[in-house]
Amino acid sequence: MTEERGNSCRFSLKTLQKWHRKAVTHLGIIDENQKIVVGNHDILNELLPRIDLAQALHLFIKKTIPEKNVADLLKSIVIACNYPDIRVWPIGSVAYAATSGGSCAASLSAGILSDDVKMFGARAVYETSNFLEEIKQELEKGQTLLVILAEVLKKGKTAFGFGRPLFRKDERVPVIIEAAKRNGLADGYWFNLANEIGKELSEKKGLILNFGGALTALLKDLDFDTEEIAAFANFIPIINFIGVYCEHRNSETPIFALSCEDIEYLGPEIIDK
Amino acid sequence: MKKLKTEIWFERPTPGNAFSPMKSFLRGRNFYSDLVMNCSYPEMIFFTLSGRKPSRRDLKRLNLFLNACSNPGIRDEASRTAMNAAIGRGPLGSAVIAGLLTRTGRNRGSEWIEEVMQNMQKAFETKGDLKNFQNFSGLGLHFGSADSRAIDLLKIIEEKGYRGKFQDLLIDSSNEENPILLEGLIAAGFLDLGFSPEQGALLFLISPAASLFAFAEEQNRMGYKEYPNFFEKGAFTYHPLENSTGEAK
Repeated sequence: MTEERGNSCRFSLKTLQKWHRKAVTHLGIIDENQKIVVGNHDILNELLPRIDLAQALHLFIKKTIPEKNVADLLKSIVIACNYPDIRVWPIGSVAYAATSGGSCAASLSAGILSDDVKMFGARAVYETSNFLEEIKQELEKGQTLLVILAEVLKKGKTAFGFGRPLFRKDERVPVIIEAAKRNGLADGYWFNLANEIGKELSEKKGLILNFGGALTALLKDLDFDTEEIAAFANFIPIINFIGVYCEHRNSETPIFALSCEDIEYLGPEIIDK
Repeated sequence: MKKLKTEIWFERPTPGNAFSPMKSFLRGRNFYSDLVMNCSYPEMIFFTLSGRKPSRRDLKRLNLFLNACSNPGIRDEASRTAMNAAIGRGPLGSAVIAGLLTRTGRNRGSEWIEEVMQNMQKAFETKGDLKNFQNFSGLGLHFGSADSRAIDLLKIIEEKGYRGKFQDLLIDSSNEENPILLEGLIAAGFLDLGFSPEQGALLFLISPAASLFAFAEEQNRMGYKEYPNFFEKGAFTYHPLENSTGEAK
């Protein structure tokens, strides 16, 4: 029997009959009096005057309003990861879409999809969360961290959350560590584990704890699950993407124009008919 | 609760399970036992959009125009977006969609096609000059030169006798300063086949999905080290705004 989860076509007839023309939410609703309820709170009348954007983000992901220190850390993570350099691939995608006359929504979506990858961005933090969980499981079996990491390296497995393409350092990590310390949130199990792994991999392979690794560990310490961390990571670059879109929409100059001579053709022999 | 109303799709349920379709019909024809066998893919597209089967000549014309917009080339912004999205080892389907999102644009993307087709209709109805629509006429230069792609396609259209009234309009409006663009020829061709501007935009948008996938998959395989990264000195420069403090006024 396959698991009942996902598209409606995957469910049993009994379940489909039960949910015929019905759906359920634990997040929120606009009720019959046009009151917008999120996580048991009236967002317009109760929350609007007293929560900030970071708290609202937490509310929508975790369904609870965080303390100010948690909100400050989330805000710091978001701001630290927004740099408008279109040489970086997802940001370049936004610029290509914008300069092609794509709408803001199309440009942002192109950027979000380009950032949903394993080398960085949302899928990287997803994989990082799983990697940290695997390490924890091995530690609980009594293995030492050194032995576990030696095995990871020996098998050529990717240590998600560690190392960075193109650069040797990650300028954002010290800043969010500082933000975590400032808010009393730098001493959780996962963040300490990530730091220990980072020290070891940095010495052995030059793989530093990167921004994705640090944010994953910090969010795991805040009780975010793997999918919630990835969802948060999807949101992070949007501020930057909006800026890049606004600058490059209908740009008066092309972006990284390439000529025919910039292509090195490696395919079969050319037949010019 | 209102029912979904459609002229396009009908499902006959399996007895005892109203969720499971026993037979599915597209515009009245059995989809899985008739159309899938008896339609080519371009014919299925034509039938889905218009509700009628194309003539043999129209099918050949549609095939030609879909082929002509099925690959924008590796330097096109849509292809480069797809490659940008693929290089970090994400799902290739997402990379294709990212590329297609770039192809929606008003600067010779699907929104451009739609506007050009609308302008062609206006010019045809008013006997006006397409050139008055400037950037949205289907005429212009391609990378600073006459569009060699359009010249090749036009040759085939002439040889096969595929010209229609909107392509005539485009050709008659062109001159040395305003040569025909490939995308203009395709836009006119879609109108000649009876497609609306919105349908033409859709056909232009989706037709290169396979080529965007191929570029994305290749780049994904080659990795970021075999990809221009523009971090060389002088490739990307920052010019701060003069007299800007960064503070809102």
